[in-house]
Amino acid sequence: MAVDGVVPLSFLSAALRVGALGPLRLLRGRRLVLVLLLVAVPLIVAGFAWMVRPRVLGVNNFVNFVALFDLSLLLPLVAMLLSAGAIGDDLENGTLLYLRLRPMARAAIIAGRWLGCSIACCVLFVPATIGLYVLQASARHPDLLVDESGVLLAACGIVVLAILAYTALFLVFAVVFFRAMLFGLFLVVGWETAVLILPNKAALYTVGFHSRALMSQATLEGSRVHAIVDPFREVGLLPTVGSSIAGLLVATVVLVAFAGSIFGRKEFLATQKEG
Amino acid sequence: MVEPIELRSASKWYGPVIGLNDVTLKIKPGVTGLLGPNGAGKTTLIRLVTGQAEPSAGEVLVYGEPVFRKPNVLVRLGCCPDVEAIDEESTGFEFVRSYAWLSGFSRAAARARADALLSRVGMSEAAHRPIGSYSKGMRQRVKLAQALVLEPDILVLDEPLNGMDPLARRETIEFVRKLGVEGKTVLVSSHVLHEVEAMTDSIALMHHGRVLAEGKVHEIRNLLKGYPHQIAIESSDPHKVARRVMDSDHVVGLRFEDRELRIETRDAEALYLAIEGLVLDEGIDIVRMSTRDDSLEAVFDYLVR
Repeated sequence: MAVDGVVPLSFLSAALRVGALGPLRLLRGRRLVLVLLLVAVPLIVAGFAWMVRPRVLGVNNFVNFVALFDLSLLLPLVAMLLSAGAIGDDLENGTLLYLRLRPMARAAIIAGRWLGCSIACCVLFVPATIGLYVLQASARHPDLLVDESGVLLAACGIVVLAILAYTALFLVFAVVFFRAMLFGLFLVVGWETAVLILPNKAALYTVGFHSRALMSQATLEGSRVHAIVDPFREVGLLPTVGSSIAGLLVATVVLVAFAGSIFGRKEFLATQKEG
Repeated sequence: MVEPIELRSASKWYGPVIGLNDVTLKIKPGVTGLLGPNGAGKTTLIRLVTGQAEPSAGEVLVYGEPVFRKPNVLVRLGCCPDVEAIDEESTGFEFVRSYAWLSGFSRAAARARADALLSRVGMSEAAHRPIGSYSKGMRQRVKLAQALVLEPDILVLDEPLNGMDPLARRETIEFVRKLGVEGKTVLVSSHVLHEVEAMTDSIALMHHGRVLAEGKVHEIRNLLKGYPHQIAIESSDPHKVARRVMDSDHVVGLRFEDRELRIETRDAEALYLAIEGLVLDEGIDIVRMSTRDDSLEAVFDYLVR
């Protein structure tokens, strides 16, 4: 090392530093407007209902909103926009090349990008989930704000788990596919929805099913998420809480490692990805 | 002795396209110019040397170690790529500071380092403006600053003078020469011959993915026996000089141009000796004597065309 006092970064510190630069970089520019609009959809709908028919609101409805708006569509879409777009952006603005010229493990760049995307998603979705809960629970019985706060905690936990898994999944898409967003969109609105129509084992290999299964198990009877998950429960395909949490965490780690391994071997040209 | 950069029969294919074809090359400390027209394989060679690509065959070594997927090797290597893309929203200062921080500096040290490097490349005044507002030459200088973050032993510069104004160009040329004098290994690619010539006389000439020649310009020129040297002599009596040298075996042509006599010879050293004799025996004054085709351009022309 030619400069005194500079020590090559360990894998963890390199990943943390790349990650720390990520959220700010991701949450600026034109994409931020789209992402904010998506995150605000449940809040806007709930706010509208609060004004027009406050009776429909409540903790059960909060659960429905989280499961049906956030976990089913908006969260994966935002995770896709941020993490599948992250590598594309890095490639476009040259960041990827300059990052790859740093003396750090390539996998650390991916781990850092995953961390950055996850933090950015959490910064958006956790406050939005809390806001949604406050709006829904306080509409009829302000006491419920405290009484049912366990539901809020569970929802926030599930949202975070889903974010970790989705950002990892879309990072794999980003390093493998040239058109990562297209494949991501197909996964979110196509595959993940399709496997929920009939009880089948394929659903067990999706992030969406596990996050909704967790939501149904952590919340009250009678919510719409129960209606989605019940057919799986009836045929004995509903995973336990522990196995869903473990499944999501393991999938996250495996996907980040996989993305890191591909990224380490892959050569990127300045303006296009190369096999 | 381990060379800073060494390619051993290195090849790189992009599908059916050959980027680099069986190149064996050693780059020693000092400035080395990597020359060739666009598409010659210079950028491919640089991508291999900086670990951005893996050789399809052969080896690419930096201080004796393969560089691809070896991030530790990059501690000793800085690169200023010829990539237009750069984060337009960051300021020059943020850009250099970020990469200093990602290279292992603490936050405070990264700030100080960015300040020092931007001042070194003459960008202090514009350091806090967004890169989007920079001219091409200013971007080049910011890119050069990030390459110097770790004071690397090896500096790889891909077309570093692109877009620079004449003043910045002169400063950068001086800067590169100084790095070479300090003992750094600087590999500079360019397709503009006189730019490289201004920085160094040690070159590697590339064409169609191959290294056609490497070494000092005049050494390479001397090896081209098939092409006569052109030497221009301005003297007090050009006709006498012509009469004296025209019978020599090595002289293959003579031409008068204004007050200059242009001699084509197969043996420049023999001609110089003959001229020396003329000065001593006949008392002819030699005003100026210059080689017309020892330039990089001439050597390049001979090798490529």
